[in-house]
Amino acid sequence: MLLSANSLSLSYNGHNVVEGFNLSIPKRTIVGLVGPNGSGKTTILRALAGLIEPRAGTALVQGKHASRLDKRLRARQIGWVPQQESAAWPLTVAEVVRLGRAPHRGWLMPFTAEDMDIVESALARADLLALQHRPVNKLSGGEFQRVLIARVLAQEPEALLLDEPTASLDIHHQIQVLDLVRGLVHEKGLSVVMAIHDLNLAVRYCDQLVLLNRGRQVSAGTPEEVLTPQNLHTVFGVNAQLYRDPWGAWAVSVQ
Amino acid sequence: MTRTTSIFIGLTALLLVLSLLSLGMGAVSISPSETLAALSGNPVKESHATILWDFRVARVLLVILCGSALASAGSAFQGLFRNPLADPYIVGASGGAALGATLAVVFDRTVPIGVAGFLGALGAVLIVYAIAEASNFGSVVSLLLAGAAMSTMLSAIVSLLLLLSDEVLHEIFSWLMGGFSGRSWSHLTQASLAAFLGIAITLPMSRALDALSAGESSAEALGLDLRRARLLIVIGASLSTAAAVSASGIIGFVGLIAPHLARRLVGASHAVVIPASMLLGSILLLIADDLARTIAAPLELPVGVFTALLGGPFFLYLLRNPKGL
Repeated sequence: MLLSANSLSLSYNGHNVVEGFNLSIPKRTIVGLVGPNGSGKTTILRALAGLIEPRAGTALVQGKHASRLDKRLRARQIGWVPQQESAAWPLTVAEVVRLGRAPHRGWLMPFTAEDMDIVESALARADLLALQHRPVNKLSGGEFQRVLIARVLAQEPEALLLDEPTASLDIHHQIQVLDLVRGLVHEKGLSVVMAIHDLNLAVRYCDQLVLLNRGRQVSAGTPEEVLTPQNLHTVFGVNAQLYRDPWGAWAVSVQ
Repeated sequence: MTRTTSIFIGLTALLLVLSLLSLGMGAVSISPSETLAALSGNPVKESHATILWDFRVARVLLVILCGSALASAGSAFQGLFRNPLADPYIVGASGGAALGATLAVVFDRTVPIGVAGFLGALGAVLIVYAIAEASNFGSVVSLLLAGAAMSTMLSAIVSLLLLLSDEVLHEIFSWLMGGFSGRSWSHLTQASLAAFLGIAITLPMSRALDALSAGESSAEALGLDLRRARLLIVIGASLSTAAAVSASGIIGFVGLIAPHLARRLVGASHAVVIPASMLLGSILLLIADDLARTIAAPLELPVGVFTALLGGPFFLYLLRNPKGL
């Protein structure tokens, strides 16, 4: 098990936002964190990435405390993509994506031809080749989000932590990014945890879901086990249920 | 040849030409060809060699050293604070170095000026950094307020020290105004150790500074050890600032402007921004120093006055539109 959380309790700005969260993420699996705003999804991802110290419980990467691992080693194992990022300086798209190679090459050594190839293929997979010399502060929200995806692809981690990876994308790029993630999961056996608002995308792409409400785990399991009409009503306050869409995939219908 | 390479060649050529012209300026005017002749050991007049080697070469080299050091520190502070308004002066490093150096002079130089200046700069930056971090780190306002409060406080302490120790008052006062008047080889050798060390620490932090552009969490997720990186950046930039301040007093705005011009010319990657800033900082400071010693000749004005006159409006422009560059 690459990643696991055991009785994880987390605080953010002095408030207790997550209580007793448990999760273990098998290889080759996409786990979706779903729940209303403020249910603790982002904070859980930050803890799994080792960026915050748990108040209680543990977030483990291959059995070791995520927040205490050597930073470069951790960055080769876990890629974290924030929901939003602001660039202080107008680095180009390629320069930003190249930073994904830093965990492999370090902070001093020049990037190698191999790094450049990996960066190029990451740019290609995120549909950014045409924009690679553009300063990142001149991109739309969706383009910037694809830059973050490309950077984490260049990072070649074993687990991906994605915080609302499709929030600012149009439907074409939503599907493109999630197909890409699913492809990587099958191809390289990645483990993925993503916080995702859109329940239709969640049921379509996630193998397992964890439903959160106010920092507590309400339910976990396959999409149809988790998104029951009762759970949807309790957590989101809507009358809704899963159904098979015309292509045979799960979708959510709201009354 | 890439655009970046040609810009570096152009800037280096400009710096060399300006240096040659600066060497010729002064009470005794020496033409560029006479300067070259004297430097290569075949002076047209014997006095040229004396004037150049005893006074002007050291001064021009010191101006270049201070310009580079301030610009390198400015790039590093802007990158660390993720803030286009940061520079050694704004973040309190210059003020801290001035206080340290003044204390060293007042206490009969029991601690070398350069060391005292470095400790002062480091202390001031760490305090400003801690305050800016505690109150919504990275926001323009908290940094500027913390820096302004720190600089005002430090200059008040310096003024108090000056009032209490009147015999060194004039010496320190004219030094604080910022200038290269009467500077020679001894100042150059003293300043160069700290400046080279500071720059040697700062340059290898380029990729870390690029990562910090994405914010601290993202930089950490990319494998950067934040604490270590921040500390090295602050130490490198404080050393370069202290070198410049202890050699030439407080010279504002060079460290602010040079990185901005550099980003306009060569892009935002720190591996090119820092060296390009150093060239631009040297060029700007040479121009300011030439103006300072020729505009009211034979009277020599403090160079800090000219960098402030050039840089003040630029700073106000940035403040109005901080993301504009």
